[in-house]
Amino acid sequence: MKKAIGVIVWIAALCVCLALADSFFRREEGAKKYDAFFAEEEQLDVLFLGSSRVLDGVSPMELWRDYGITSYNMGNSSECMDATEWVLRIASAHNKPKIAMIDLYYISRSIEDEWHIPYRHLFLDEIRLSPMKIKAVTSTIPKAYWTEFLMPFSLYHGRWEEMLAGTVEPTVDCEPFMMGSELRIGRYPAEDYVRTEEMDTSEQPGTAALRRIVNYCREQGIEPVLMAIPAPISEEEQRIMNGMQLVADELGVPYVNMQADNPVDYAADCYDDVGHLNPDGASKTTAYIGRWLTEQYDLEDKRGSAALSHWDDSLVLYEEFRLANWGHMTME
Amino acid sequence: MLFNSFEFLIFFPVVTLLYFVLPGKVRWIWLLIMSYFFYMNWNAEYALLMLASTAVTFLCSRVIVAAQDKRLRKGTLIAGLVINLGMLGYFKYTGMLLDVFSRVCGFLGLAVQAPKVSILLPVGISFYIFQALSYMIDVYKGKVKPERNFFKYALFVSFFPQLVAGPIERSGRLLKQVAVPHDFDAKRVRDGLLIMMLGFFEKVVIADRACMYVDVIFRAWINASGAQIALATGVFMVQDLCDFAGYSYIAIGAAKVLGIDLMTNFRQPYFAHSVQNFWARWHISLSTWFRDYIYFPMGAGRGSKLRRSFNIMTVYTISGLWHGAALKYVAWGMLNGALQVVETLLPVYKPKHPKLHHVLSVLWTNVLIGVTMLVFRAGSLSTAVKMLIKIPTQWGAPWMNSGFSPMQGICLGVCTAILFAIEYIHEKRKTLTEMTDRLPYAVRMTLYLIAVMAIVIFGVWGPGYSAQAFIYFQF
Repeated sequence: MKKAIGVIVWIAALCVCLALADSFFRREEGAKKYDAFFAEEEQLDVLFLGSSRVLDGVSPMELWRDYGITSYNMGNSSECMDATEWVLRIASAHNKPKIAMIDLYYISRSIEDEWHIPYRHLFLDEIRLSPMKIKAVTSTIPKAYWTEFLMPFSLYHGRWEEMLAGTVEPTVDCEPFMMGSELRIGRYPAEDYVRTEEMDTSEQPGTAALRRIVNYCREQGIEPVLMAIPAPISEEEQRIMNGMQLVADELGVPYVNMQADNPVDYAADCYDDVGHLNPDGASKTTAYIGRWLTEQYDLEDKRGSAALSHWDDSLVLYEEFRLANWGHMTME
Repeated sequence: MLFNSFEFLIFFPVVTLLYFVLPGKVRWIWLLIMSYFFYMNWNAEYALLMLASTAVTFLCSRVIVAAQDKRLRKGTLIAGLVINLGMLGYFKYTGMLLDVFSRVCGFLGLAVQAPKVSILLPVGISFYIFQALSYMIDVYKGKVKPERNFFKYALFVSFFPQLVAGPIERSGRLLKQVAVPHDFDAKRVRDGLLIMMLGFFEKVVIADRACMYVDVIFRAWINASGAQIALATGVFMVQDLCDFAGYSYIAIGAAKVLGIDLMTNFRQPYFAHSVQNFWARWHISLSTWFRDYIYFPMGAGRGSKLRRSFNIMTVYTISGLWHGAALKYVAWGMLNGALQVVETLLPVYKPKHPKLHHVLSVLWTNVLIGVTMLVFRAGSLSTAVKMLIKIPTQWGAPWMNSGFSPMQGICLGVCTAILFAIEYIHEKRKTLTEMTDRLPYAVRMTLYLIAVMAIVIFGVWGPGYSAQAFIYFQF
């Protein structure tokens, strides 16, 4: 009997050690990006979903400061529509927003392309193992990678090397007070940008997932809104974004195409050569979205609400951070 | 299903648990089913090949026992040998033989080109065929009582822990063990798990890490310095030991958990003081197989020095062929044979300082074994010769970037030091279990916990983490 108890205690100790090691070796960025979302108890007004265009292009803190709208930026690098569908499903199971604004930039990319896989860890690693997580992984990730998503320790235990060598690099520049967005500091004037009004009306690899997203939103009572974040993208990509107007019309959902009605200056508001927006670009885009939301929806201005005082605390930290790293608050 | 896979981590506990839960009479049937399931995870069709080898050797053995006529007995033995070695030859050596044929034709100026064939080598075929043959030969020699139950014999051939990489067991030891039920014994299970843990440490922490360095240097040896080639050869010696001995330890430990004792397969080979002594310590189950079924029947060490040398060379040439179907393996086997022939021809020397002599002998033996290992690992025989020449001639050349980080190097170095400390303990005829048993219970359990966590964290397993893949600049 003593031996049996000893074995049980030993197995329990092993489980505890494995759990500790699992949390020790995890990357920190996921917690910085998503912890505030999972800690939020009040219903959010808006959830922003999509690719890195959203991640860098929309600032929930500025939406709060200027319009009193609560929102969270769930955007993530290289996120195609099939992945966005599961981010929305998992996120809305925790906090169902009134409106879901879905970026369409990666609608032309197929889930079959394996290049997007490492980036999927940022969100999925923050989700506890559950039937929903298993379904998200098995639906959108090739079988060969299931283990590293369902048991992230199988991947991260090898991080001892970079941790000991002190060569850990962050994958996103999020801080908890940014509500999921990031600030990428820099200016990279976009050259050779040519605007086109032409449309590509062909079915895109992500259109089927988009239809599912819209249906899901309607089932859940969430208002779906499609959007295209401003970016100096190629004419081919613009044609696809323009063609999405037909899909939006067919689905009967609003489409905020900021490629067509561009609020930013590509010569000053991008930080890299692929046209991700810098803090100024994000401020202008956020202001545009704020105006559009207040015009289209009857969203309550929640500033001053006692239950949301932590948003004011985060705003103070956000402004300090932005001033320290970018030097000014807005372009005006 | 590899031992170091998630599938095995589920498979083994389930098999073990049900083995002890099931009634004693049917436990061996459970093991047989699971052994075939284990094998069919590699390639389901090739299980038929194993079944065929099992059936042929079983039937031949029955005929050998029943036959009164000596010629029939011998004929049946030869038929069984030809069929089994024919299967092995077809799957393992067809490609090599056709290649040699084409080369010979080319050498003779004949415009004949043999077709290129690609035959998938069934996993473990060299192991289970040798095991089945040993049974048939032992039955022929009257050394073992023939098994009447075909399915129990099938379990002897297919017993999953040692099926794909040995040890190559003898029927005299294994057959009687697998056929009887074994009750749960906590101490034996613990000892088995500790042996498995040592195996995982050698395989996952050392061998799979060492191979990251070895693979790069042996692939790009042209850019490597002589010193780097020598270092890579040394690292390969460690890798080869840990890969093979580690796998054997896991097999031995797994069998022990189930109540079955398998033979020791490696006994501190790098503590050997001669090449002969090395082969008495390295892959013992194979060495003794060749000794018992080839070397002894040939006359062993009896007769003239020339005859004895011929016997040794024959055995090691065949051993080379067993290890792989390429000329470099034949050369490797012959080199090992030649070194032993030279050792037998050298006069017996009585050293003034036996301890110093022993240490120097061990070091010199390792240099010789290192040379043979380089031949074994190099891409081809000609590459091996060029690499060997490069070691002294370009010793001081600039080192190429192997991509093997200093942190990984430190980890490998520390783990290798731990390995040799364990090997030293074993050499002193002590076991880790004996040593840890002296410690207080809590300390012992804590040590086991630390060891498991170290293997889990520092082991090379899972998809492999690449920080580069996560860096945020590739959208």
